[in-house]
Amino acid sequence: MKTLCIVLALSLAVVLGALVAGAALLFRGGISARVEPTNVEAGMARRLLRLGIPDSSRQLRNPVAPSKDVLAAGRAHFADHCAICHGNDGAGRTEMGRNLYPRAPDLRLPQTQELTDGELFYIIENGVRLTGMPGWGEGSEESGRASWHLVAFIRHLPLLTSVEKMEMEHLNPKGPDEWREMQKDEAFLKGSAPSPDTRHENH
Amino acid sequence: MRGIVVSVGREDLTVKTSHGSEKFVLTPETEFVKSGAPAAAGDLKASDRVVVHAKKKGSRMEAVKVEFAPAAGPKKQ
Repeated sequence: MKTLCIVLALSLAVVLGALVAGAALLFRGGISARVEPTNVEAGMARRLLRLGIPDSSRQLRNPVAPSKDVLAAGRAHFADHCAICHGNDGAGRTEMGRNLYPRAPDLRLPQTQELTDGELFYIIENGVRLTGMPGWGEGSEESGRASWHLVAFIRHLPLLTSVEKMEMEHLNPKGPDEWREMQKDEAFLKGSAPSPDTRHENH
Repeated sequence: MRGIVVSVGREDLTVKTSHGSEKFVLTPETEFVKSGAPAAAGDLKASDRVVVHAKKKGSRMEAVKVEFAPAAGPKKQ
């Protein structure tokens, strides 16, 4: 009986210790997204992410071959929907990507490139809870095809050329003011007199 | 910011704009685009027309992207 009490007390102490350590880890910095995730937290999150993807999805292989047209479609889609956080080059060095918690990953690195086609597809379609990654899937055949094009484009990111990147800049979403300023920039570079610039450089 | 290049060094760029002279910091990440095509810092010359996309970092302006075109030559008679 005495031994059982000791074992129970020790178990309780271990559980409490783990809870306190977990809480300290989670709440360091309060709810701020500015603190950097620790290596332990990032590592655990990556493992949990992969564990959270059903095996049937993980095994899927991209049914579309990475042809020129498929990559062009994926590139245009990525520039329009994904680049605001991930950047056109997938590095995640954007105002949004840098300030999310967890940060938008650099999609060119092994952490992403080593995910299976099915894992990438699943993440695009379903998003990842408690991160900034939304689920884009609509359940239609068309939306699925578009996600596979994105998978092909993500595989191409480490080889993205500066010409492709510049093409993407024209496809990034812009407000009417931004479009006007862009047209003024082009006119100025072609020789027109400079007109007042109304952009703000704070962000 | 649109203007004319006054001077360009390894790490800084000075541009004459309608508001006066503006100084930008060039970093290894700064992108250069000449007449719509990818270029390098070395291609940028004084008197080029330039559009600088910059971000404020503390008290300095860091150039993210520099688009430029050579200054127009003298008009032919």
